[in-house]
Amino acid sequence: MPEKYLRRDGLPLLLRHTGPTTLPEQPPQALTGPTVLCLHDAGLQSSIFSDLMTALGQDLTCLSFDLPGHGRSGSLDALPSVREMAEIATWIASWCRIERPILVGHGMGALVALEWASRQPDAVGGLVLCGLGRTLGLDDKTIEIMRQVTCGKAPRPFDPTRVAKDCAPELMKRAYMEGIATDPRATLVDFEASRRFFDDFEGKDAVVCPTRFIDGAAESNEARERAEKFARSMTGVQATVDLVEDAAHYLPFEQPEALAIRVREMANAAEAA
Amino acid sequence: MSYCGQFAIAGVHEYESRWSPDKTSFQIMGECTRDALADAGLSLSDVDGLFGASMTMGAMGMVQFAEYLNVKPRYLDGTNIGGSSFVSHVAHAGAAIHAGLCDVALIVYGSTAASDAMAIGTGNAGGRDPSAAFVSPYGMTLVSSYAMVARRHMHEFGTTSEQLADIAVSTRHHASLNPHAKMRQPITREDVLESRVIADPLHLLDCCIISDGGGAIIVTSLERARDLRQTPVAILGSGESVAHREIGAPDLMTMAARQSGEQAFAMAGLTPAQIDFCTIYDSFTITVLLTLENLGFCKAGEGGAFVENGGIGLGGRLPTNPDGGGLSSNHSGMRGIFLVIEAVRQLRGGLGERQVEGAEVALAHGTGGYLGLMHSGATLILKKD
Repeated sequence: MPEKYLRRDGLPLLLRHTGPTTLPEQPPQALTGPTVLCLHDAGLQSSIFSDLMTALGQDLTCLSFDLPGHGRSGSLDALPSVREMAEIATWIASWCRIERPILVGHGMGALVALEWASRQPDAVGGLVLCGLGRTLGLDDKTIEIMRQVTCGKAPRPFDPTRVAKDCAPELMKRAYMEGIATDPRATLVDFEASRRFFDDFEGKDAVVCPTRFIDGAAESNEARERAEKFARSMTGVQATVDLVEDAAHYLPFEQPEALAIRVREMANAAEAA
Repeated sequence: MSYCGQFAIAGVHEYESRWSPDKTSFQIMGECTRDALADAGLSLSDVDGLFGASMTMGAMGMVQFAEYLNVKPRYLDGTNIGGSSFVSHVAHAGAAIHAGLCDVALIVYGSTAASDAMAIGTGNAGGRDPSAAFVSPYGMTLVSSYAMVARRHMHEFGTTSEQLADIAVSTRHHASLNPHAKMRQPITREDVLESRVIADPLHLLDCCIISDGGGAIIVTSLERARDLRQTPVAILGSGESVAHREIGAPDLMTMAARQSGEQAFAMAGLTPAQIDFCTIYDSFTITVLLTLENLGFCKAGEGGAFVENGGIGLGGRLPTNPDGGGLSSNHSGMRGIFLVIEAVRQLRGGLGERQVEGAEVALAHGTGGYLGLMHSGATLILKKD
């Protein structure tokens, strides 16, 4: 899958896209129809969407990027607020000359999608929000553990429940490798930004585009209930969480085909609208 | 007549970013070359000597880099003796200039160790070298060889983890004054001791960081350097050596620094008491402590007392690594070039809060390889012209 670096105020940002490779400083070639922009979770990077993008790439233009301080984008520091992350996402979309993208947000990426859709309701074609329940459950203990990691007082934790129980060893290995590609200091800032977002977010009613909540069926009941409660609190959106079998939090690479079907449905609905 | 005192460093540049996933090592080296030449007031066409090494370049790496720069040097040196290589390159460049083999030498390094996710410290010590035949099969790693030396120092002299921690604390304080350092948050002795153990007795904060980075140095004759843009920094003495081809031979407390340091001091006609500050390869805290002893700044076994309570901090008895060192500022695999660059910057002056007061004479010492196993040492004594 082609990758290229964009520069925003001198900061290199890694962009992955479907379709043919394009020259430096040139945006990806867009197919006709909606474009899908994938927004990654806290402490992760765009590589988590590679299988999903491959599954969608035959008939949709798909983009994803690494936030500053994540994966292979520049900067030692992550962005301190979801709003600034959304600004980067809108800048990426503008640079790529795409309009009204379908936003696929995973975990913290779902918050970025919500922020964007609430601030610019007409600029987003649809939202596919996955793995939100776990992000809604970020607690003081999780944040404190990550703080200990950044101080060198604890090893970086690996949570095997992020993938479905009894998954293939390759998936478990990938889950581990995806989790160590970003500096834990960035992960801590992400966690804090996510927590603040829920404290401050008042834009639920401003989201008017089609919105769909998806989670792995192997996620805990608590996570699912949190996501459903959040969905119900939004007016005009599907109030249930669509569950994908044999997947947990990392469903973008656990079940990319199943997620791709749902994203395609959203793209079709957006195009019809 | 010794060649030392006859040549000088005329230009330096340190790559500012510690995280450059969008760059290759050659790009970093190229940018450092451009900026070091600009610092000196020279151009690429002036370069006729090329020196360098890297962890990632192959044996022909410097040939490829010459092509990358589109230069055809008449003197080429790709000597790789580990992280100390660039300290020795300065002396090699001086010898070549003194012998008339080149006039302007470029010493260059670049690495994307962090963005390539290189696990430098946990690699197998000694690799497949024949001398490691009795080490590698038993799983010794780089960090564990340094840890073994630290434990031996504690056993022989009663050195404490607290004393080692004070090296990390002083160095982090220096990094907090360096806007380009990777780790700038000040730490305490307790922070070091409470950080997780990597290889007993070394904690995480006893270990250098991993970053991307690079640098370049321009060396020419002292006479020519005096006509260039910056105040020249003359090289008064140099030395190189090796030690420990196998564990325990000779004893773990004797480093290559002992021989290279004695040679450099003799060449310069100076003693340790006449050094204003040091830049010492700080792969681990124990490396600094043992190097200071071997260079003669204190007696064997007295390193702990020498470094504790800010002894090597700014304003201390011997400020060391005022840029934040490899422990906190940057460590992209081979740190030797940054030792020389920081020594030059300090001697030029004007570094604000992290300026060593009255800096006139500096010592830079690089250690390459594995302390306790095979390693090299290279020492330079530098003086503002």
